[in-house]
Amino acid sequence: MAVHGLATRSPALPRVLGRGDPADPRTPSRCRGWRVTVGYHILGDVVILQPQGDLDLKLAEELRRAGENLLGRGGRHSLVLDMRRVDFIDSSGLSAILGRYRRVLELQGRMAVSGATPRVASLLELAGVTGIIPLHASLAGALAAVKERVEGGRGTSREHTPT
Amino acid sequence: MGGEPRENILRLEFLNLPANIGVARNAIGTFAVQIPFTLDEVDEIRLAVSEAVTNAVVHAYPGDRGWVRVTAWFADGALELTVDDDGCGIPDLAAARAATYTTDPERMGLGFSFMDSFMDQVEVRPGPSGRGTRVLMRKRPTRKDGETASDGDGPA
Repeated sequence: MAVHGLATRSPALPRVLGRGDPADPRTPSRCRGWRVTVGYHILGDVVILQPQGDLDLKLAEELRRAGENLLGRGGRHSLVLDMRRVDFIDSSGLSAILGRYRRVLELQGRMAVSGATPRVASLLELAGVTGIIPLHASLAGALAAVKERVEGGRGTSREHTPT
Repeated sequence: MGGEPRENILRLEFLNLPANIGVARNAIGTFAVQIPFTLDEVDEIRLAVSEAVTNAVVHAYPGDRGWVRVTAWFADGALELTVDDDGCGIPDLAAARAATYTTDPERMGLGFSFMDSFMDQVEVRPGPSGRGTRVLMRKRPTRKDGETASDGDGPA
């Protein structure tokens, strides 16, 4: 299982945002240098993106760029969006999330969101996002759900109830 | 709404850069707490400001730099604010106000829906100079018991 951007930490519970390798073209541009605003981890087929800050137009553009750089390459088709470090989201952030969801669907992968704060979760619900992308309290739970679905058959509509 | 500012006033002017959306949102959120909004209401104001400023940043000056102005003030116990640009304007204001209207497939078109949902009043007009767009929004605190905090009489 390859882990890029985070070499030594537990893959299930990364604590710090991955920085990526500036020389690696797969590294999202904003991950280069110390101004990390969208961290990432790669666990086999699954990309974990960890936006940090207010998910408005600025961070949404970086999230989109990170998704474009990392999804669909090297067989990576599924996405977990770890939202624990996002305190605010607006329609630009919602659009970025749904844009990544569309990309994951194209790749016949799975997507889940973890760690959304109550305010962020309420806006996701208001916008109808939770009806199509499941929310999980923990990153581990979201990862388990995405990986089980993937292992259960890509592109199938098999239901999974998170534990 | 939109009359002469009273009580207090904040005016921001900045370039149409995405980084400035958060600056405007946070400044207005900080300004708003001078009257007894709840934290949830302040979050709603911040969201509405974010949407209005984002519209100006994204749409007002296609491929170009331009100024965005946000002015906030208190009037009759409510927060009122305008978001102005001198850009290309909105050709069809009625269509733009419709839910999920968007000119960009990467966007959801929820901006005006959120503004309408979270502010008491939202108006969209051509800019006062005849160019660009003006968004006016108004919101009154629902909490009554803290109203005297803004006029110096202390809690009720």
